[in-house]
Amino acid sequence: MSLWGRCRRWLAEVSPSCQQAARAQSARLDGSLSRSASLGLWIHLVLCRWCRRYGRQIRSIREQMKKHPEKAHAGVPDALRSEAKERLKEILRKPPAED
Amino acid sequence: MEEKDARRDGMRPLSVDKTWLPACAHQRDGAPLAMKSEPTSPDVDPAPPAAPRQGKLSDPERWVDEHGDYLFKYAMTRVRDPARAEDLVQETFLAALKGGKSFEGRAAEKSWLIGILKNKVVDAYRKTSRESSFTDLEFYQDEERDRFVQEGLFKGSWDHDLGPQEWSAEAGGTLDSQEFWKAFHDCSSKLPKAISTAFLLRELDEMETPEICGVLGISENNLWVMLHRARMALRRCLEANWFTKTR
Repeated sequence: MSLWGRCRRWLAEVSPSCQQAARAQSARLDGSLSRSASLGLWIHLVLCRWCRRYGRQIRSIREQMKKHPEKAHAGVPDALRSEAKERLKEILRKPPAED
Repeated sequence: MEEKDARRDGMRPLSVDKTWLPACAHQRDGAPLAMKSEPTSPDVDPAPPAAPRQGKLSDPERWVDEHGDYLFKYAMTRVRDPARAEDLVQETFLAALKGGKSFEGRAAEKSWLIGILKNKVVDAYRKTSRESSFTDLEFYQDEERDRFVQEGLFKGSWDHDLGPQEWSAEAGGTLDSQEFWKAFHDCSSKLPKAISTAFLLRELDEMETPEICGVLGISENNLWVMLHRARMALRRCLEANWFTKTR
């Protein structure tokens, strides 16, 4: 085995698995990744293009949401419907009896 | 930066509202807290008189016009369901009617109503988490194990056939396309309610961790797990519904 091959193997052993790395990448987005875990993640990402891709994709989802909050919010009403207002007023005029 | 500020104004005027907290003593009487027991001048009253009974909830209907939309928006951000948000606003008004307090001003009235609503939202989540459905539980346990190699030397590595595919569109601007946003809404609506709420509160409303945990009644660790699951599931769903279709 070449020296690089041996290095890769050793690094793969000390670094987290992809499954763990996925969790760590999410934690990094939330700022809850510890220093030691972030070193492990860094090593893993150098070696693993699948996880680099995974990280890129979850980051790009976040970026899209930040860039276009109105689109991410689309269809969410931000005011009471006028019928709802009338209904509420009606209820408040005659609140239901205590149970 | 400007855009961000505008966004904050537009999207989350609610989560920063802490005015329902009791005002500090020194804000009220102009003297620091420690000085309170030894008044410096005769007209500083150590125990200010009760608020003038001006607004004895004379006209609850006025609340609907004045505070209805604000309360609704506050509830919407947290429950993401117009019908439930309306119910919560109604419960808030009814509880307020029962509690019947008086206020110095409308700002205080609004903060008081928000305080009630806040508790209603927390109760609502407690109730749903007790009735947590099987699919939710399944979702919590599912680490998308099927996407990872299960055995052997490469245990825990992405399965190369099922792992993340290259989103070639990612390089260009097509990520922001109608198809993308349609898939985004379809996918996020498929997430269990609490998980999508946690995710949207974090990513869209940029709410701080302790507040999200407070709203959902969960621990920080729970939150990290939920956010991780949300990202994983959303990414996977987007890949299936948007990327592979547009390819």
